[in-house]
Amino acid sequence: MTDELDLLDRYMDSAARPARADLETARRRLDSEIDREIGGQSTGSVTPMPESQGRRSALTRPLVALGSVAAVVLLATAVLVPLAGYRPPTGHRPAATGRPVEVSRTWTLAGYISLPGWQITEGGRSLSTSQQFTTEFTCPSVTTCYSAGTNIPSTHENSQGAITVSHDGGATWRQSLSSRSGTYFFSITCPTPSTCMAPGVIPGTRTPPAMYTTTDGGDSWTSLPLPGVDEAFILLSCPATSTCVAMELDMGQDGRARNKGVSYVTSDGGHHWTASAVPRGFVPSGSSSLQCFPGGRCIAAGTETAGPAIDTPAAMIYSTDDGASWTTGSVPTVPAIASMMSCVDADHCVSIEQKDLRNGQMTASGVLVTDDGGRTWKAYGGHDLDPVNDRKTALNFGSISCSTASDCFATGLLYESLCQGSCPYVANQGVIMGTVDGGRTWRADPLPAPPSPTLQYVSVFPMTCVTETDCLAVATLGLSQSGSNGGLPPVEQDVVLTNSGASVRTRSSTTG
Amino acid sequence: MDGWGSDACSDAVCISESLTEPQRFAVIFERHAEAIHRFLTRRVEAPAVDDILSETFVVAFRTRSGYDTAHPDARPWLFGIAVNVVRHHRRSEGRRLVMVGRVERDAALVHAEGPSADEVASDVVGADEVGQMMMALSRLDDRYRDVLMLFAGPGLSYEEISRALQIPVGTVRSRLWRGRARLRELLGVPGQYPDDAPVEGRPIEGEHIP
Repeated sequence: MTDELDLLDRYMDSAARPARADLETARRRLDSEIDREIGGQSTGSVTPMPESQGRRSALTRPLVALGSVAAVVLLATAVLVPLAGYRPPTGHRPAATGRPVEVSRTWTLAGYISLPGWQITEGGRSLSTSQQFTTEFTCPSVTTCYSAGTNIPSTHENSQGAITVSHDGGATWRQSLSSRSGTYFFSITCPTPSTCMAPGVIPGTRTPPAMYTTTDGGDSWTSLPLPGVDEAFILLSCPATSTCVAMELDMGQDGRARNKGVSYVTSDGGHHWTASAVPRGFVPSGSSSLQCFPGGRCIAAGTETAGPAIDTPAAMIYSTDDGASWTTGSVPTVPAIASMMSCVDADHCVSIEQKDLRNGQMTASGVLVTDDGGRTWKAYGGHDLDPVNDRKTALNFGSISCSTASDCFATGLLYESLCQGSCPYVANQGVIMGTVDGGRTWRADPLPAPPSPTLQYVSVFPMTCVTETDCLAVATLGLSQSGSNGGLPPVEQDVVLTNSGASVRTRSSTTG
Repeated sequence: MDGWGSDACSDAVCISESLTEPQRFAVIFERHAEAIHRFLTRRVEAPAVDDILSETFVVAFRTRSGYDTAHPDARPWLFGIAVNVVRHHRRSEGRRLVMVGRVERDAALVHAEGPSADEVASDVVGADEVGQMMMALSRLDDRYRDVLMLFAGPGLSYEEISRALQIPVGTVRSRLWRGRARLRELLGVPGQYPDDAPVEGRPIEGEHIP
């Protein structure tokens, strides 16, 4: 009798033998690494990459092509400082460049999203290592923040959904909700500082998803079933304590992402849900891609599923009746795998579109902006959303948050391990980019110095702006050259960065 | 770079020699790259295989001074690195819904359109069977999937998996047993396997099998 192990054996054994050409990329990388060591460069230790090596050259090379002194100065200050990664915070103010006068925003490390977990000794001091990987993060006030994600107790333990809360602006955190039943949280929405809702799914169990609600600032949680299936990601936006709109992204039996063509609305805090139709073919991009506001306006960003290419056109839909009905917005053609959208109010939204660059890694394909609640959108090129500006380096955006109609921050990670053997291996780098003109132009912001020179920010993902001057982001600290430690348990921890108290920017009359 | 695969030294000896003659490490690549590549094609989405394979060997090269030369065969060490690189890759890539959606969608499209390894495989194993197994594996907890795929694919022994994943042999056995039970359920394969009960049959504390 054929058992599951026979089937697995057959499945594994049937993996195609790679052609020699399939191994060439890896061989070149290894050759390069070997040559580098023979050439006398140190390897294998967790020390900062000398800035005079490939990192710097990889970043400066494309600048030469700009041919503009002003652009070089601007990009040198805006890009090189943050991407150098190991420099202490400088409080740097860009020199006059001819652009509207602005003062660089300074980010500081506010705290660790700590949970019981690993402890490592780094630079003579002990770091609390949370091993919480934050998927969503929101601060309904400048002091109260919630982080939803997964907690990984140790390298080989199962990850579990967790929500943590801070009541001091991200400085200290405590676990608010931990699911022992395999629940995963992929978003959290808070209509007030004390009331938040988080959809949770338990994959593979035929258990309906649930909406977890706290009304006491995270001290306690209750749950109610959400319509949908356990294989779905639930997008949830609650403009009021009793009104929520949910949209389901069904991963399906075949693993193909699709919208089920329906959204759900509750007006009684989740006790009862009413289904409404969503334009067929529209696939929302992520948890922040659904945003609803008091008054009934909802806006959702995503892509069209039609077409054979992986990059499909960006698509936007909106509702004026709390999701009871949806209309497709008028959107210029921009190729997109995914969107990151932020709406500062019911009228003004900015969305970064991303397309495939190579090997499943992405780069910005454009910026879509609306000032009429999603009915019409205009597109910007988003060319300077490529901080290296060489059209080769992948920058995967993870989040965008706008504090005003013209001021937004976008976060992500810059892949630098794809130099195709042309530069030394370096770890990914977290990136924060900002716009002060509603998405037309962007610049990279300096990140604070990591707490140890052997650490760096390997990514910055969820970002939330609470007020015009207070934004917070979750960054991940990892070992620099973390790839060289891939044979060891990866050490990463999520921390909170904030620009609160440092947002002294002179606004130009031409912006905003 | 000469000597690819033509050397008779054991893995441990080659690795040891590579500390003073770095190019000796090329032998390790030549011997094991294909097996790691095949493992990865079953473990991650197709576009990521080349990069993860590259990273696996770069990591191995950089950390080779820590290799325990008491073990002549480097496969468990290399597969362990590959598993960790995959895990790291997924943490970077998969923490956001949008990433997950994209990866799943890309995988589906690649599978639907491209000459993927799975399509080649479908000549040998039925396409339905491949799809069923992909789906079942995608629903397995990582710790069970790692053990099962190292056991069935490269055919590592309990002890070798223990070294690769840095977990006790007893844990390997119990995870293998539990992983098989879960896989059987997901595949809808009937039957019981009383003889397969783990030697250390005590449930792992705190483990939850969805």
